[in-house]
Amino acid sequence: MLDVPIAGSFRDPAGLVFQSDGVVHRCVRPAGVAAYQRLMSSGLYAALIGERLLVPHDELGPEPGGPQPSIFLRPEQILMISYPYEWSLSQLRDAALVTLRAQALALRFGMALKDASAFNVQFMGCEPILIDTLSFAPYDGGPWVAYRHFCRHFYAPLVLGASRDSRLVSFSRQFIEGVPLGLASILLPRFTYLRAGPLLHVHLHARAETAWAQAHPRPGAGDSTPSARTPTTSRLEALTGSLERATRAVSWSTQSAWSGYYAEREGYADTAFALKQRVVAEWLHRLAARVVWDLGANVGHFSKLAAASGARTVAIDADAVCADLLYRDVRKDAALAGVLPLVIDLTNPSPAIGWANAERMTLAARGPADVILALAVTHHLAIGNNVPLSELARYLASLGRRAIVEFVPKSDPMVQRLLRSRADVFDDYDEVGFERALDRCFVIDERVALAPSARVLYRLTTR
Amino acid sequence: MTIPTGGRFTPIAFGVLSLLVAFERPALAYIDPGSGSLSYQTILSAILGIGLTSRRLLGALKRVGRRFASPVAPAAEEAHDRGPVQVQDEPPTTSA
Repeated sequence: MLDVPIAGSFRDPAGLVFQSDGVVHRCVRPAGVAAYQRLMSSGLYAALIGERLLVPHDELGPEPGGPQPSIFLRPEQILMISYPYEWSLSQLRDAALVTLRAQALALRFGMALKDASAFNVQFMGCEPILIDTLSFAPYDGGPWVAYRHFCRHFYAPLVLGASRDSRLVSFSRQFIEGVPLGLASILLPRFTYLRAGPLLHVHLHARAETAWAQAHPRPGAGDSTPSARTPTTSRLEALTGSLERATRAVSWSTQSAWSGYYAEREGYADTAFALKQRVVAEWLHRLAARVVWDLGANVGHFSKLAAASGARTVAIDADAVCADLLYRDVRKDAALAGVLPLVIDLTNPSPAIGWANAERMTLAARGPADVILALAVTHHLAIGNNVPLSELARYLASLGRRAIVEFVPKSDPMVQRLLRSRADVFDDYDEVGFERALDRCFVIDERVALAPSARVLYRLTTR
Repeated sequence: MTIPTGGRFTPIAFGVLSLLVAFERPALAYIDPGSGSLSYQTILSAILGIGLTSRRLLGALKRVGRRFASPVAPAAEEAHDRGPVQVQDEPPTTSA
C-alpha cells in the first residue's frame, strides 16, 4: 500500500490526510485523539451526519503498537475537489451557512469549531459539506478562536462579491488564509457601513484588529478539561446567530453578459441546435461516463444532459453569474444533484497555490475526467485568446480520456463577432487545420456535421 | 462615514476591554485567532449575548403570560412562537 500525504493537510497537528491506493484517508494523531473521541461519544457526530453537515467516515481502527496510537478513518470520497475561489456567490454563502450550523450544533454538545477555513468545505454532488472531522474541539469557555478565520474565509469575500462584483470571489485565490479584513473594508462600498453585518464583522472588526493588536493576553496554558455548557456558550451562540443572519442577508444581482446566452442564441438555427443536443446525449449515453467536465458550460444546458446520463458533472465557466444561476437550479432539482458548477476561466485555469505551490491543485491535477465536453468554446480559446489549435488539443487531452468537441468555423456568426474588431491572423483555423491539430493527441472516433450550420461535432479518444 | 479609532476611542474602549478581558479565559488555537480580533469578539459577543438572553427571557415571559391568559391549547401557541420555517434555497433580498 502506497501512502501519499495530501499537501494541504499539514497545518493541524491533530491529524493529516493521505491517499492510499487512490483512496483518501484521515489519520487522527495522538494530539487529536481526545477531541475525536469526544466528537464521536458526545452525540455530535451523529447529529452532524443527521443534518448532512459533516462527511461520514468509517473508522479503520488504531495503528498497532505505541502507547498512544493514531486512529485511521476512511471518509466518504469526494469526487471533485473544488476551492472557494472557484465557487459562485450562492455556493460560498451555502458553505458559510453549513459552517455556522455546524458551529451552532457543536456548541450544544460542549464543542466548537477550532478553525473555519473555507477549504474545509467541499461539495458532495452539489451540496456543501464539512470534510475536516478534526475541526471540532472541546469548548471550555472563552472566545471562538475561529471567528476571524470565518470572517476572512467566508464573510468578507461574500460581501465583497455581492456588493461590488461577483468576480471578486476569485480574488480570495490571492489569500490562502482568507481575505484580510482591512483590505476588504477598504474595498467595500461605503453604504455597507450602514448594514449591520458588514459593519460588525468586517469594518469594525478590521479597525479593532489594528487598534487592539496587543490588548488580549497572549494565548497560553489554559484549563483544557472539557465541561458541558459554560457561561460563555450563550455569547458564542449569539455571535454565531449574528453571523448567520448577516450571511443570509447578503443579496446580489444575477445578470451578466453571458447569462442570457441560450435565450438569445444567434449562432445557428434551432434545427442544428436540436441535432447537437441529440448527438451529444446519444454519445454521452454510449460512453457511460462516471465523471464529465463541461468546459464553457454557461448556464449548464449540456451539463444537465450529462447529469441525466448518470455522470457526475463539473460545469466549468468563467462567468460567475452563469455558475450562480446553474447552482441555484441544481439545488432545486434532485435529478440534477450530480452537477457541480465551478467558476474557472479556461484562459487562466486555477493554478497550484499555497505553501511550496502544493497545497491546492491545478485544474488538470484534479483530472482526468472520463469525458470532456467542449461545446461552442474552442473559438473563444483559439480566436478570443489566440491559443494555437495544437496547444488547445494538447490541453483538452490532458484533462480527459475522451472528449466531445464542437468546431465553430470562421463563417459562423459568433466567430464573425469575435473577428469584427480585430485582424484575422488565424490562417490554420478551419476544419482541416482543426482535425490536423486533434490528430496529434486524439483518435477521431466519430464526426457529425451540424447542418444547416457549418459547425462540426467530434467524438474523440485520447491517444 | 468615519469610524472612531485610535486616540479618541482608546481610553473608554480600552477600559471596557480590559475589564472584559480580565475575566476571559486564554484562547488556545493552532491557527492565529488574532489578538485584536479576540478582544473585539469579547466585546461584540458580550453585547450580542445580552441581546440574545433578553430575547429568550422576553419570549419565556410572553409564553407564561399567554398560558395564564388562555390555559387551552398551549402546544399550538408554542408552535406559533417558533415562527415560520426558514427556506434556505433562496437568499432574502434585504440586508442585515
